Amino acid sequence: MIHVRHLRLRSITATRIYGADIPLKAGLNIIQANNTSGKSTSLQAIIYALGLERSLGPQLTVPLPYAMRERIHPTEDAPYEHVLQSYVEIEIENGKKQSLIVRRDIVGGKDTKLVQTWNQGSLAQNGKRGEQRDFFVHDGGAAQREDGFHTYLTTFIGWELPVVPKFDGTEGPLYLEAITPMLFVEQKRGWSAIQGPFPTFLKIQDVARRVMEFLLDLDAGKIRRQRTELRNALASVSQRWADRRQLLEDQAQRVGRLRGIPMQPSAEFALAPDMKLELFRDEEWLPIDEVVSETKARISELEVAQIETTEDAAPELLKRLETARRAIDDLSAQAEVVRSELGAEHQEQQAIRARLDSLNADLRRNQDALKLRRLGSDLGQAAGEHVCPTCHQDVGNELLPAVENVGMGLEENITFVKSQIDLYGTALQSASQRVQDCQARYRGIEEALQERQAELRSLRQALLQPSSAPSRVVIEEIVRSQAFVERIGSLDEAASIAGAELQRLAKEWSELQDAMKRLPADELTWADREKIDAFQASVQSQLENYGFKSFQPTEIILSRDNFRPLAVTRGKDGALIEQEIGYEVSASDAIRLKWAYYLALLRLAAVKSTNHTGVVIFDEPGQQEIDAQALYALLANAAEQGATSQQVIVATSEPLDPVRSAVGSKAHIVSFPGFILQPLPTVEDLLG
Amino acid sequence: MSLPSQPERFSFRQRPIPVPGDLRIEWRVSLIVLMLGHSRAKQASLAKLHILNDAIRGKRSAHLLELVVNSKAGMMPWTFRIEPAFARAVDFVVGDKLADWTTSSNRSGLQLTAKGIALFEKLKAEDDVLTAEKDVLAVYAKSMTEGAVSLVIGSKRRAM
Repeated sequence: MIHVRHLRLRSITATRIYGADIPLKAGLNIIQANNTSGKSTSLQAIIYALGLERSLGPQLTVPLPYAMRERIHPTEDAPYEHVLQSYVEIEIENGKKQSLIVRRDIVGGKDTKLVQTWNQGSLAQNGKRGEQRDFFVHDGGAAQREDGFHTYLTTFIGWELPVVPKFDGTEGPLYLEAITPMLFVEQKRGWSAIQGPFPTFLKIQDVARRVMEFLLDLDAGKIRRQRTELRNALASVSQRWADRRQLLEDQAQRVGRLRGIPMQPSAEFALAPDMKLELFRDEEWLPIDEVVSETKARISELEVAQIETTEDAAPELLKRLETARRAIDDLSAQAEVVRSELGAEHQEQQAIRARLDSLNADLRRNQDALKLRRLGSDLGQAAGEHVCPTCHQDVGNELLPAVENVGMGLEENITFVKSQIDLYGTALQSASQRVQDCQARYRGIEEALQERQAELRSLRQALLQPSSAPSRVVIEEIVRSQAFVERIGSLDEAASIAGAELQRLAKEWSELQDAMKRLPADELTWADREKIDAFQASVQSQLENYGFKSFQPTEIILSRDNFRPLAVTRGKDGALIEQEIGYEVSASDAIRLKWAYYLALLRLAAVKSTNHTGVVIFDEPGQQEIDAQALYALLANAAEQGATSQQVIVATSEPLDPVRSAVGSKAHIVSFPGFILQPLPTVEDLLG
Repeated sequence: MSLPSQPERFSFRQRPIPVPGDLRIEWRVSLIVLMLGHSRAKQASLAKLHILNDAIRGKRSAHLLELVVNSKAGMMPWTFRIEPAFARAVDFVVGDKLADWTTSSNRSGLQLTAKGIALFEKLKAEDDVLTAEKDVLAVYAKSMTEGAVSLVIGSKRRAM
């Protein structure tokens, strides 16, 4: 909710101060003056003061005429004077009755990107102002950063702007500039479309629908937003999962392999994770705890065993020496096999990778070709229409037509390549998995080999010891085994910590998935439908008042996708036909429709909960030679808003008397006989 | 087991086959216009276009072009292929009056027409198409002079 309470313009020359002060009230306000006297200037000053000029177009030029920028004169015949300094100030009030004075300099003052505000005071009474705070507009972040004026203004209005998708794939807030055209109808371009026209440079996808959904405060938009948020949260959980999984996998790969962690979080993992760390021992994969307990058992067995002397142990030592030698030969052979297997797997992996690379390049080129079509005929006939520029025969859509066959259409081709990429992507995943497996097995064998070699060395040394000395073999094995248990044990611990973390992530993921499933479908809810029906009924009843002729007013309905008006007629066979409103309505009826649409949207805010600001501004609604009766009907209709707390501001050049009789006492009329900007009395004038 | 007396009829329908993106007319015509547009005086010899084409189309690109720009006389740093599809695309470019035949350093070449230049500017402004290609061309199309091209394809060879 917002009201404009007062508007002040100042343009200062070397000799005097020109200015205009326009007090505004709740209900209908009419600024009446002749053409080229400054009505549009006054209304555009509102846009300028609030830093919303980009709603009129992407340029950052001041949307105000030269009287506020360069030269000014009090009457048409008087000589011009140069403007040395100028500014606008407006006072606005929000739904909580807090007022805000906003000042923005135009020339000769502070930077035009600066907006000064005071949180108390009244322009009409010229009294003391509250605390001053400066903001900036138009620099990056004006709508998102704390010292951006639009961030402040949004909060002041009491809005929470939705985040909407943009054409470049990113997201951003629904900027105030995008919403403004539904509240302020500017004189030059404003009347050219029934909705908007919305600025396109903001690159917001589906901007009409987003703005209308927001202004109407529809559930559908909120549901879509929630879905996007959930989707983002899901993506972030999946990413964290993938990172954590990778980290653990890297650790595990140093000794063995990890099993039972899916690539993506899953509901099953959240409830009953079945994660296994396995080591390659004695030609098979064994779970880590089994290996650890086996090794521990062996250690305790060794610890209780009597330590024999070398002499006693010799025959046993020799036998073990032989076993160790055989084991080493065996393991070396195995290592060789696995190594060549690894080489083959590596090659396959590389081949798939190369194929994927070329598929990706192909996809990119086909997609580029599709995008290039938007250049249409600029590309020439061959590329644009697939017709030979010289002989005008069909050239197909490719450069080297493959004999008899017809080339796929671009869209089909892109889908085809994408499905191939999917296929090869999966193949690459499983190839990588196999490579990892091979590597882990190789490492397992290597480890066993080293262990056996160490054993062999220690057996040899043991045999060389004096015959009465205690045998070292057992002691060395104990030490080796303990070191192994310690190393593996610490990894097991790390794995269980990671496992708990992954399980938490999977839980989070399941909850998000659940929330996603519980969201209703992306369509209008009952409450939404009621709102739109009321909106539509109000448009229809106003059209009746304004003398809309091109269709029966009841034939005008609102589209359910972006809520633009459509006409429904009956075809010859009696079926209902929805048609866009374009050339079918006369120019003046399009203007009537625009009035009806904007006032209906405003009026809806009085009976349903919407995000409308409660203020609508029409600059010169008497467009397209519209008949005066319709205009007076509009004004009378708008004056009815006076009963509620809404505000309509209209600038018109219609003669004062009929305007006055049309609205009676229900409107606040500010009339200017000449130029709106007039020299203000100086101190000397006042003193006489 | 009895066979149905009247066998069901088979019907064959020709399905379209996939086309590599670099054989799409849109793609290639745009690429040639970009090559010319990024070259000096908006013109380039056919030889140069072939070299750029081969480098961009294959998976080699920038560092090979670097070799051409800095290479010595008569040494083509890679065996480059002359692609028939490219010649057809060149014909389309000329047929559509995007470029005209001209002579550049004694070799036949192409020069963009006003229409071609307009298309080039549009292509440059579209910032989500042909991005990788534009990056390479912006650097090498200009720095690869006809002199460098003459050097690498042999000084005695003339128009190709």
